[in-house]
Amino acid sequence: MNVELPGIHLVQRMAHGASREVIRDLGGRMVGKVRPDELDVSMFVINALIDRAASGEPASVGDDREFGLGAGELLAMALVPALMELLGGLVGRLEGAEDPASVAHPDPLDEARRTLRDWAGRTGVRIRGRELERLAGELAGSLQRGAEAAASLGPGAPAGQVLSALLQGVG
Amino acid sequence: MATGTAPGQRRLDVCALPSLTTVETAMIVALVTGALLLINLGAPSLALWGVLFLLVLLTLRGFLSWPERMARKHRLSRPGPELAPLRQRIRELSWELGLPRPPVLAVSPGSEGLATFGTFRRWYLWCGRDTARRLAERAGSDPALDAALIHELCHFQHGDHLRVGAARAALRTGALVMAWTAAFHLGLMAAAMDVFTDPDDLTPDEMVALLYESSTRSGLAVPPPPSGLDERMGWDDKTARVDEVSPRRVTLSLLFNTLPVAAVLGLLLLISWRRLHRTREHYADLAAARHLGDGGALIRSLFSLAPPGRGPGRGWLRSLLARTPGLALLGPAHPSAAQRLSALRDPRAIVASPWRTGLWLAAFLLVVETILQSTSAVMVAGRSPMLASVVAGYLLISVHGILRASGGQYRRRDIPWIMGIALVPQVLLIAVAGVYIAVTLALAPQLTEAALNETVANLSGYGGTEELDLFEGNPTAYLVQSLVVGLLRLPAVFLLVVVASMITVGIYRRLISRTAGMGGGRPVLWRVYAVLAGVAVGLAGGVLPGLTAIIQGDVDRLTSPALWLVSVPIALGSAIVVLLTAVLPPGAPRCPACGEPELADEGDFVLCRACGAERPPWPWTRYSVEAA
Repeated sequence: MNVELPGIHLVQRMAHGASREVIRDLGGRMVGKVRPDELDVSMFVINALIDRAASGEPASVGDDREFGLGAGELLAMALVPALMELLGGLVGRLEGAEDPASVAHPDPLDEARRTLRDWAGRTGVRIRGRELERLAGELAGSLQRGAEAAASLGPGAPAGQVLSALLQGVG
Repeated sequence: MATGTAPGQRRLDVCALPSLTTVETAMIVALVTGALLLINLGAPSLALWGVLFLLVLLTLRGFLSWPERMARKHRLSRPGPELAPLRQRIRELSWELGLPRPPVLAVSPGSEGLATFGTFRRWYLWCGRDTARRLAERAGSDPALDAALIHELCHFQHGDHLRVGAARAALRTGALVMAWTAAFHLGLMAAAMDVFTDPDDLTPDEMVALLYESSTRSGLAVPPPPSGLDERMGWDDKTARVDEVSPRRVTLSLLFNTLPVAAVLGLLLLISWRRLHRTREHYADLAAARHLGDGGALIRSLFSLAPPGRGPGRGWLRSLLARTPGLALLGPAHPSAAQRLSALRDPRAIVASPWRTGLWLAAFLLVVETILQSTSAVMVAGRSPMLASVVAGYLLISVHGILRASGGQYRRRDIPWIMGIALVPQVLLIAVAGVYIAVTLALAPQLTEAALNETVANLSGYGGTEELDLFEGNPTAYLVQSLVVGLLRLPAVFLLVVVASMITVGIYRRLISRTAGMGGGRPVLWRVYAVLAGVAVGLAGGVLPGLTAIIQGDVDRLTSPALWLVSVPIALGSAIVVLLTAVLPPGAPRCPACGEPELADEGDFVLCRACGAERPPWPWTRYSVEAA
């Protein structure tokens, strides 16, 4: 069963080059803050999670069935696709905007919270309320910084520079 | 993709050592089978022996029909031609691992991950069709997917499908038989009690027969002998005999004999069954990492193969167990990804800390003691009440010590520490019971004495109507005596287990110090098993009978010829076997690559002079665990 990500082509682009590094670093940092005991193992699988999210087949928590290989359950399973969707959305808005300053979401915290909750449901990962609030705050803050960095270039800046500034701001 | 040993850090090869899975499976199966046997041994009825026969038969059937049940339950089918690359890869990897046959691939309609099951010669590897397609597309080119396949194949290599499958079948059948036996007895009691209020429902013969059958089948000492059911006996005689049976006492005795055993067995199985699964997953992980030379691939495979999108729904019970911290130990059948990574980095983590091993043993021994309180068990095991605790404690602690000694973590004080923890609940129970009875005796002596009489009647299986006066107005003397004997038993169990385990671990350390490097492998492993079996037999058949007679003050038994004719030869024989095993030099180790006995110990690795193959010294291996 494939799960359609909004703006899949943008998400796929996110999975390459500098975007991948940003997602990897930011995701790792957030996992480290919220669930430090999962940081080590998350870094083993974060590339695989990015690839799966980019291919439209994000990993979900499997059944803990006897005699089976067993599935993992990590915060990163929900966080990575959520991060890619939010970042992809921001890049998408930037690409179509005349002025980078106009692309920031009116309520980034709510957007991050809703996206995280959605991905927690889709992947089956349990995220406690306090963890969700903290992650949403971190995500919204990063995206806000990215949007501000992109906006600081002003209207008419080359797309490559805008994207680069955004990623730098986010990361 | 070629698999093989890549350079990496040196790590303990727990798969080359005595297996925790084997020991724990054996303990659980022995406990369940032993409990059912003990409960039913006192019964003279042929029907109940028939139940035991049925138990064996059903277990065998349950084990052999496992593949068919799995096929029905998961709607498994044979793979189509599009999955040929996956089948080919399974064959190749099976060959690489030296398996006698590749497992048959079966697919289910969903997106389930990989799993194994099978019997003696019928091995199956199954997964959802979506997973199979992903595996087939990347078969042989993705190390993570190879790692997952090898992990599953290692379950066959370790015989998990046999050990855990057979244990699973025994547990399921045992639970069914236990429930059936209890329901059967209680149903008969209900029928018999109904007769007391409405004698027209059954004839007197049927009524007495029902009650007699019901009570004797649990080893209850009911006054009427079987000859009392003679057809020539008149109605008055029959009703008089029925009057000698107390339905209340018979019912309570039945409950005492079945419910606590069923409850504590169920709880232990819930905990230990999941624990067993987690342990065997670690073993398969390590074997796969050893073969691949890369432990990281295995961790990645957990997520590469995870089902896409929304995972399978969780049942409310599983969800509740997973969310409740205190109940989490009952929940997962698999270690978490972080635990797997931790065990891959340092396989010594598989061996639980002395503290946790002690807690597990404490739970196990509590269950054993509860079972031993049932009527038939007391009748059978009354002369060797320490047997189960000593043998179980010895095996678990010795294997724990051996594994820790192999990893250089062994501390001599761990052994008394584990056994001490394991016995704490029993000391507390005896102390609390003693204090409680002493207080109630002081406050309400007559009521307490009456309650004690009833308790003893229920535990001993007395089902008659006669008023009991077992303590003759002085229960304190009896209580003090039973508490002292109960408490004396504990230091005896402690000392026996600690001394025997220390001797075993000492012998093992001597063995590995003499065979470090080029030695080891199967010869040393078989010696370790021989020492474990020798000491266990020596304890059970040689030391315990005499020691129990001393503690119980049974001088007659101590001087009986039977004791000297059986126990002394067993004790001596076991000691000789153990000593010879420890003293005789092991056979020359052979190269696993060419089979020639030309291995040279070069310190950090072993080199074969014949073929030049290199390997880490036993019981060590090499693999890396790096994030990609």
